[in-house]
Amino acid sequence: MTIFDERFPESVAFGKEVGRLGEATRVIRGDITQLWYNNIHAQWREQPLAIAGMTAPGPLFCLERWGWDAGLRVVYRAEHRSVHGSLQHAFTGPPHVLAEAETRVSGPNWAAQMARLAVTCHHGICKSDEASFTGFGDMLTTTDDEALVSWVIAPVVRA
Amino acid sequence: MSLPLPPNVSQAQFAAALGKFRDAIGNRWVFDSEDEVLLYRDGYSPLRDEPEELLPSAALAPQNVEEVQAIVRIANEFKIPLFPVSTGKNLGYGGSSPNLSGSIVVDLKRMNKIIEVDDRRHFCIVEPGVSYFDLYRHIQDNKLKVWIDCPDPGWGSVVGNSLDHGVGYTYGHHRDHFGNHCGMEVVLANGEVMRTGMGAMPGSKTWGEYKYGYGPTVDGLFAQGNFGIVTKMGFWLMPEPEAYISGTVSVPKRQDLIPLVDVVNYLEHTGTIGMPNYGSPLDVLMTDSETREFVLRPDITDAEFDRLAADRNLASWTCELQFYGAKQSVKANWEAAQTRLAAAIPGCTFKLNNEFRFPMTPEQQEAVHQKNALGIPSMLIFSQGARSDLNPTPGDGHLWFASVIPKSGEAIFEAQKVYAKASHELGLPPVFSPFAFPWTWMYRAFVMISGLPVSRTDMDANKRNRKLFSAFIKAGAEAGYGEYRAPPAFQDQVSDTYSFNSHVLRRFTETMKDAVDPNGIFAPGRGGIWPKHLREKRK
Repeated sequence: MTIFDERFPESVAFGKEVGRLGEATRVIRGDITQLWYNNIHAQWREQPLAIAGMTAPGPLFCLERWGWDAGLRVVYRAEHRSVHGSLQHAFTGPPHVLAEAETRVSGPNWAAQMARLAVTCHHGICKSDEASFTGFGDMLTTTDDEALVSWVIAPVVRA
Repeated sequence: MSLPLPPNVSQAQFAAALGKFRDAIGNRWVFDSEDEVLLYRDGYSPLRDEPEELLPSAALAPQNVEEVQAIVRIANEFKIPLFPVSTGKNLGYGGSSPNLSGSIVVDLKRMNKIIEVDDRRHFCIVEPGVSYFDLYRHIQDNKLKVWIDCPDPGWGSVVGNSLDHGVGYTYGHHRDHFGNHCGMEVVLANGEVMRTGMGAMPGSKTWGEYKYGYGPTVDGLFAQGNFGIVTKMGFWLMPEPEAYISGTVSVPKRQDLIPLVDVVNYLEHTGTIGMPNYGSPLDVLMTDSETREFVLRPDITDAEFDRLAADRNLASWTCELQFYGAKQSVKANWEAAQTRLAAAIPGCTFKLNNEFRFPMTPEQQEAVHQKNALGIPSMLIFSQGARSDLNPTPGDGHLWFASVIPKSGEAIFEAQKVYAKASHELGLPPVFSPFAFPWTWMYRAFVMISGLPVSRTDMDANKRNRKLFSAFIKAGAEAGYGEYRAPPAFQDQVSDTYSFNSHVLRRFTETMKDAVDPNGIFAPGRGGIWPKHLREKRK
């Protein structure tokens, strides 16, 4: 399942690309409550499956903590923020995913490209790296200077 | 980052203890790797990445009372402090991190049974891992005619929230979550299981109904205290009402707040209304720098405030009144409230906001904006963190500063000035403006509350806000206000302000602590109570 927020065109573009790639999508309008209560909670109780999304930070904050209780972790995170007139992208995730990140944020369809990065990161957890890049464009459609975050939450196996 | 050991425990002893914990509850439920233990870090810590950050040494997740007893016995053997958490979501007040670094977190999330819900006698009995969402789902799935009263957000534990004196949004005593509890089961420091209230009588039929049992009640020792691990609690539940109405009264002048509060107090204390929601339409003017400067002048007069409101065609204060009950009575009570307010405050106006009938369909519930007033848990609050100069990184969290003040308009005005002065003395802009209003979760007192921001990256900002928090505690105490709840970093200072007769209350509690928990294994420092061998740690 991949979650996008219909208030933000970037998130909608992310969701559309995920749908085009054949993954199931769910839409929110900022509030994660109903999706968690009606879908994710039951799913994770039965079997913790990976989910992905591009949302404001709030929903990820909630899902990340609920995920901990079900044995899942954020395995990939990319924060997209407008800083002094340019779009900055800060990534944490598997090296093989980050290796493609700079290229994928360099064009006007960067949000859709983030979907392609996310779907390569669904399974398992491995050593994560960090990287930051300046990307295409100068602003997001969020209000109050809020960031968007694209992310993947996946089950982990204890050592 | 390396994890701390429990105080006065060697690595070898710690390893041996972990081995015994694994034997007791299973390897899968003992967490000692750094990445697992750091999940219990306070997500809103004001000390993040500083040497004083409060960190656990490990975490355990027992499934039942017997496993909790085993954990307690092992902890006593090795003198390792434990810090119990229910769902660990007490953000703003410390989250799941302990008061003493090196403590082992006892995560009760797996103890999540809903033991009983009775919708004829209106009570429930639950384990600590039951969240408000869990209890709400149980009630909805079984079509029971009761409501929960939940905080905001609703992912916390019914038991855990009450044990930190948490509060909610519906009607009367239901908002006082600890006050609304009825009997508990506790694992004591010697590993014994104790039950209180009517739970202390084997075969009792009234655990969830009569809270006092017989003789002295000790339940309060386990709330904001460290005398045991609570493994079950009873709570009274609100019967589902037939109807709900909310309406807002607006008053034109600054000083109208005084009669407004007096009348609303009468309405609340006679049981006519649920939680009143105060506000000031003028608060939005504080975003304009010129208006802000005008309003923050120390010599500003009431006439100037009133002219500001009149010029902008705004009320000075509002209060939303909420009525629950039979459909005839909610309408009649709204009419009666308007009559009483109009007689007390010339020029006040009224607006009907919402009318609901129950039960509601899921679609109707989803459409309600103020879900917590209807006992519907929500996470909407996490979608509402707006960035501002005072809160540049809302996503990094906040500390709740929450002081109890009298339920009067005069006290609101006084508190605004007290805290503005405290900010000014530190060279900081006021956190509480002249339009700051109290929150009314407690139905017999006001809370002046604000979230002081924390940052995951700016340690200087954290130091500044910790200093401000401390200054607020001091200024509040000097004015006669006390904190009702505090993050661990400030619990000693808050405890110090309850100092009547040379801190006799704390000395009394410490005497009991030394008797029932001689090794001091339960949550050292919680509520400002330290075991004898760690008392020098009090800040």
